[in-house]
Amino acid sequence: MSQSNPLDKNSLVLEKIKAGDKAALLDLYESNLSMVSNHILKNNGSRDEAKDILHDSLIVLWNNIRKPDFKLTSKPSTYIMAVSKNLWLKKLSKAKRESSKDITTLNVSDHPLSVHQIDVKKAMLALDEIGDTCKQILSKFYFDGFSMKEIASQMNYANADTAKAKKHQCFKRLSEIIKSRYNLTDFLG
Amino acid sequence: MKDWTEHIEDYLSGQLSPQDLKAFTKELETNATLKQEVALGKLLIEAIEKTGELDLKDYLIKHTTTATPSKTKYYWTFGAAAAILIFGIFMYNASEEPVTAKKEPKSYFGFEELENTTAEVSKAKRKKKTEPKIAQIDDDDRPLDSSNYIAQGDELAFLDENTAESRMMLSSNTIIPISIAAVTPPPVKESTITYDYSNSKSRALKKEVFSKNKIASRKDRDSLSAANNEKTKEIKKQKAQKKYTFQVSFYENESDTILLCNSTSEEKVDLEVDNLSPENAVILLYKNTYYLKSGEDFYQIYFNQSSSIESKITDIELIDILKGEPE
Repeated sequence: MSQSNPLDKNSLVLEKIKAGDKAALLDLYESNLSMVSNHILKNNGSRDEAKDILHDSLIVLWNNIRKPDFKLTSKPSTYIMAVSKNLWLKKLSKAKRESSKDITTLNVSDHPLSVHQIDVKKAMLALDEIGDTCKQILSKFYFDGFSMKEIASQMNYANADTAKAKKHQCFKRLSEIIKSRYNLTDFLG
Repeated sequence: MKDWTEHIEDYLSGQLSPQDLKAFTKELETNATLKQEVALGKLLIEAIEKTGELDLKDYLIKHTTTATPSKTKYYWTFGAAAAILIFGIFMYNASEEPVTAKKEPKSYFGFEELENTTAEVSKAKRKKKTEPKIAQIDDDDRPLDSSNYIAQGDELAFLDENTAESRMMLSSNTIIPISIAAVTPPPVKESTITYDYSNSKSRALKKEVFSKNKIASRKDRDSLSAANNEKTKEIKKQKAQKKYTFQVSFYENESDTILLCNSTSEEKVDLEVDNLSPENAVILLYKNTYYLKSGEDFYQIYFNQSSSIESKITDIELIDILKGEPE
């Protein structure tokens, strides 16, 4: 197969994304924007909403592609379009639900963040306090899904074990911050 | 006994050996503290993932959308550009446009663009003096002005389409107040109002600024005006194609309020006034010149020129005229 073969191109993009190359997402953004925009504009959306949905779809792709059991059977563009349609549908039905709600039945907890979401927010704040290296190593492992070996080479640790020890230390630091601030029984509801 | 809390991460990321997993699960059933720690661990991972998503989204937004500068910044650039660009032009214009307070008894709200100050105008003025009926229309309009500013006499002035000079002017001896009070200044230190001086429509728009529900009566009056004066009608028709939109915005920096105008004919104004209150500001038009009334003070508004406190009017005679007080 030659380099210019579109199939090859697609798998190359996917490989890049898998390897944590965010710029590859930008290529996918460019090549899919008009398609996603068309769909959303036709369905009561705006150009800005289309961009937002496309961003979210790319994040879904980013997340899923690094799951071990995920296998992309279609072209990336088909996948992105399908996810975008779904996300937009969700957004529309959510908007509809909210607008049809009777003000008298509105529950305080309906709208603002749930207790769980608030807990996540608190943890996110704590994450900002553990230092950049710690944040990075945890993000690389839990969000980007890199192996400890990959992280070790990316972040200049001697080996996977050193990186793992560092990660463990960071995770512990994060949970200590939470424990020092909140009563766990209350915190986890 | 093994310290299972050390293995929570491995458990959560599926990295425990089968034996350890079995033992860990068993321990979890009875150990409430461990259960709690596991729940916390899950939450922390969720927070890490969520943060990662947000960071990625930030990255995408940053790299896929062109950043739009804030409005204020835009205005500053705009003002600065106007200032630099046009100072020369202003000097040129100002020199050939002396403001002389000359009152004439005739009244006509002529929102016509006047593009010259040449003989054609005086010719037009002489013609118009034979049509006194227009004064009635003026009276009719008075209540709408909601201020003491009453149109001082003027004659209909022609727009000479062929004149090279393209300054936008309105009829010469009229004092036309345009209250800005009708525009609620938005919370963000900036308010904008659009005036349309497209000849026959300009008065109507002014009224709209005051009160939208008077549109109907405005229409009546306009037709009355046309009926009363054939000549006016003709000229209005002539000018109808030429449209000016005149936009006035206020924005504030630390100490001053700045008036910024621009029109479709590209004239720009950037007037800086201490303690200008947009709510009480009134723009006046007198003898082809715009003035801003703020409190008791009047400022001349120069087109294509950034001006500030220096443009304050000190000529008492002119102030009296602008105040609408009898001479």
